[in-house]
Amino acid sequence: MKGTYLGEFQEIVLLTILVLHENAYGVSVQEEIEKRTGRGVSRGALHTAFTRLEEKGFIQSEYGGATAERGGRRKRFYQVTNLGKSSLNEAKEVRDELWNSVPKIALQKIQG
Amino acid sequence: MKQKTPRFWTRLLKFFCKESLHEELQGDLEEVFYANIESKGLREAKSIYRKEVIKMLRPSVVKSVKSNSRLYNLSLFKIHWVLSVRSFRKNKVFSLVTTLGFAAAISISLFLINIIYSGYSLDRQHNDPNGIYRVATMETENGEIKKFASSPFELKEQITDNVPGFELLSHVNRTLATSFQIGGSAINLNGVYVDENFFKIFNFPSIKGNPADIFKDRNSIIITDEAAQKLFDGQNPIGQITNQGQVVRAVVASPKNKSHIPFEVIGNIDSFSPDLKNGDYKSRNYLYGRIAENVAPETLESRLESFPTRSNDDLDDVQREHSFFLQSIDGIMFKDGVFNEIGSSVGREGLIMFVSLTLVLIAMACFNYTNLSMARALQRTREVGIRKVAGSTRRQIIGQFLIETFLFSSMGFLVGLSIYVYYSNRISDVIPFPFLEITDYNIIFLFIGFSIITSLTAGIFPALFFAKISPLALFNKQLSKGKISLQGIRKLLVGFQLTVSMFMIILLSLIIDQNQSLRNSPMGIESDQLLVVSSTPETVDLLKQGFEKISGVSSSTVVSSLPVVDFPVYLNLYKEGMADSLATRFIQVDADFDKVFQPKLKSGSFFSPQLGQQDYQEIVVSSALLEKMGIPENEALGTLLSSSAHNYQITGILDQTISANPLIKQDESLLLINSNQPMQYARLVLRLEGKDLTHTLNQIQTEWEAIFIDGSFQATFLNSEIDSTFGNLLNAIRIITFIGGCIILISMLGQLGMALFNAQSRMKEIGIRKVMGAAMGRIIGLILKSTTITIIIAAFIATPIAYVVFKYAVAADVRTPLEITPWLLLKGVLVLTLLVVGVVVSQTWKVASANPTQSLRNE
Repeated sequence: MKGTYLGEFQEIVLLTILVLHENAYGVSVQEEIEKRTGRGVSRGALHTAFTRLEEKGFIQSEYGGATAERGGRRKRFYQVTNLGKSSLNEAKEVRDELWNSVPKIALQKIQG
Repeated sequence: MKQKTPRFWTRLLKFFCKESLHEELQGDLEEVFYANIESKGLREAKSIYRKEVIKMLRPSVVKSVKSNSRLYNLSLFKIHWVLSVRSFRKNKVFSLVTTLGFAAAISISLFLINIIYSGYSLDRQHNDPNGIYRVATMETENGEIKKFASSPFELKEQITDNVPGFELLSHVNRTLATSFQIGGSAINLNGVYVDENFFKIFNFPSIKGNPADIFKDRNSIIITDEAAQKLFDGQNPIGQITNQGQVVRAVVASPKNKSHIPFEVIGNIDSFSPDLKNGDYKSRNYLYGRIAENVAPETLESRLESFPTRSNDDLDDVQREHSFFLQSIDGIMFKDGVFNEIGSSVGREGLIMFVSLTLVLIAMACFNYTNLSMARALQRTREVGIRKVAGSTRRQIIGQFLIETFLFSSMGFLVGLSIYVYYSNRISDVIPFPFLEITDYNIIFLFIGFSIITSLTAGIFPALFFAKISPLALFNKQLSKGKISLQGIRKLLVGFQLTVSMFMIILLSLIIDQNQSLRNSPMGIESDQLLVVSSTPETVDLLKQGFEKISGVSSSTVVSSLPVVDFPVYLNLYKEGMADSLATRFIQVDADFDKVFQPKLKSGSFFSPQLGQQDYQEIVVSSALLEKMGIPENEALGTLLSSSAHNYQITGILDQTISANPLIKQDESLLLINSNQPMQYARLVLRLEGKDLTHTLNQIQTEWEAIFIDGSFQATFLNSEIDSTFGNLLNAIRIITFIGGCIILISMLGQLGMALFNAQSRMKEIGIRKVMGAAMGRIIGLILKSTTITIIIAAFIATPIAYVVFKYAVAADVRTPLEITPWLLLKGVLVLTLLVVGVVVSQTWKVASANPTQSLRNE
């Protein structure tokens, strides 16, 4: 376990789960990430992220009902835990603080 | 849902995925898969699915292997090894039988593997070996297709002018024969005539001199390093002169084991006797070429198919067409059989035979092992039981038995390898196939891999068997409770071994008898003192006139093909009032045929010396032909027959059919035609007389060289041609006999081991029987009973198979197929039965004649 550090991809996954709210399971998260970031994600990579996040206690999951298009298999829905939410907030605060400390002049694009 | 997810990949995922995750992941993949079929189509969906499954191979998904690794450490391995060595030493006969069986199978397999591997590694040294092709001839005669590796001489020019697509083309003519005077004797070298493209297509590294030099004049040759070593050990070969006046300009590496084109010497095609250039595709002339880069071989081949071929200047009656096709030189040794191959060839059938023989051999050795080790199961079950009770896992027991098998098979491998190494140098000179030396690394890897696979195959079954037995059952001695019946499997394997041996022994005895009967069958001619002299259709009459003046030559004749040796061509024969024509083979001869070959006539006479007076040609036929055409023998003389171009009159009936090549089926209707039609392929045959053959031969050579000024004289006795025709058959028979003998030997070793084991394990029973008064004969009979039943079953299975294989595969193409009598089949069965009974009795005898108190005294 890598402690409570939140990787960039893991952060995106957490946020996507929040975006999807009640409907966050493998396929929907995969599609949402692809739609929003334009970045192709394999189900396997997503699985690794889920595992890591679950190990850290940032998300929890439960099985939903069976559906026909999945060959009668159940979906597993993910939810962000309170720990996950505070970790997200923490990450955001760190960023915001960094953003605020950046002098405006440094952000100006260099001409030419 | 109509479309299912790809089965293999779904199973794969299920195989490696943790069970707790499988439902979720498989469900997700499947959902995406069906969505993708709708949006992207089935192909794309499948491809995405595949990739997704592959990407699932990550530590968080893959099942963790139940780790025995901590248990299965080095010390355990050591214990297994010690156990194996102990059991190896404890059961000496068993070890010996198994090791010898493995050794025999492995050593022969190594030879076969080497031949196959060497064959496939030929011709890899050239630049772009995959672009090199041979243009070969396909002949269609009477609907029968024959392929020839050779092609007509002028084909190169015609292709260069008319068929685009070849980057380079080279003649290769395999008739170059020359000799060097070394010490007191002439040493002959054989080789090829080539043109300057040869060295651009093929890569034969130059060792001395520049190979291209020989194309500057007509009197230069190249020899191989091997020939240089043989002839001028240590001296400089450059500048040496042959008896024919050719000068050595360069030395190249020998093609032995490197290329399928055999040569010891290379000459310039321009120095090739111009008279011989007219030879058709049946002469030893070949065309090789490299295809231009952007041309597909298929395109080129279709261009060649539509390529107009030379018109037939043979007898017009012969319905024969030819076309050309391409042969890649990659693995050319094992391609479909072609006639007139430039070097040695095994052919597709040969390859299949080699591979299946190897498999059979190995299977027999594995069965021996499986059998014997399972026969010892009673001894070992306690050992296994104790180990299981003490906590060994299934995996460990399998491991131990595999190690044990590995020990046996590697002992066998070592013995087999020694046999192989000992004989390989001798054999490589004798067998007509490429044969790499043991120093080739790839071969060594191949061998080791092969022996490991063998040991795994042989060992896995007994190992699984032992691992499956439950400890309680072991102590119970009730073995056959489970699904696998020990006795059943053993009987099956022994039965299989005996059946294969029975099959081999019957087939071998039939093949040997067939060869004998072919060899002894009457040829219909007197073949002693006949000399065949090389000639061309144009010069043959001139030569004949010259030779007839020599006093030692009693007569001479020109024939279109040699009796007993050649494959004569077909002719379609009609008789008035007959609906169908009869396709029959014929030899075109001249009026002197009877003086030279001296066949006997039943009635009528031979040909009249004057030819061309009548509007028909004279023929001499066999009784078999008359029967086929429905002509009664007493009315036959004078009967007129016809073909599409000529009329024929029967002037004589042969007492005995003149035979053609032994591989021609049903040639008894072969007929002789006396005609002065130009021949495509003329053979000049002389009958010699008198004592001083050497003098006569010298005179013949002088006469010959007066006509072929720069050619080299070649003459052979007909008897030696006949011998070599049968010799080729004989070599094949020797190889088959040897391998068949090994198969029988291995299964006899197996029988020996089993008999010994049976006798020993029934020692007490025998002892009790003896005490109760059983006679020796009864006891042996008792033990022989089950063997006899197995032999009878094996004979019933093997005999019909051997009969069918012999009749439809081996003897299908020979002249006079052996008439298979029950006795011939029974002979093999009897020999094998005697062998097996002998082996069993010899082992039982000792036990049965022992004093019963010895075996009954202690428990």
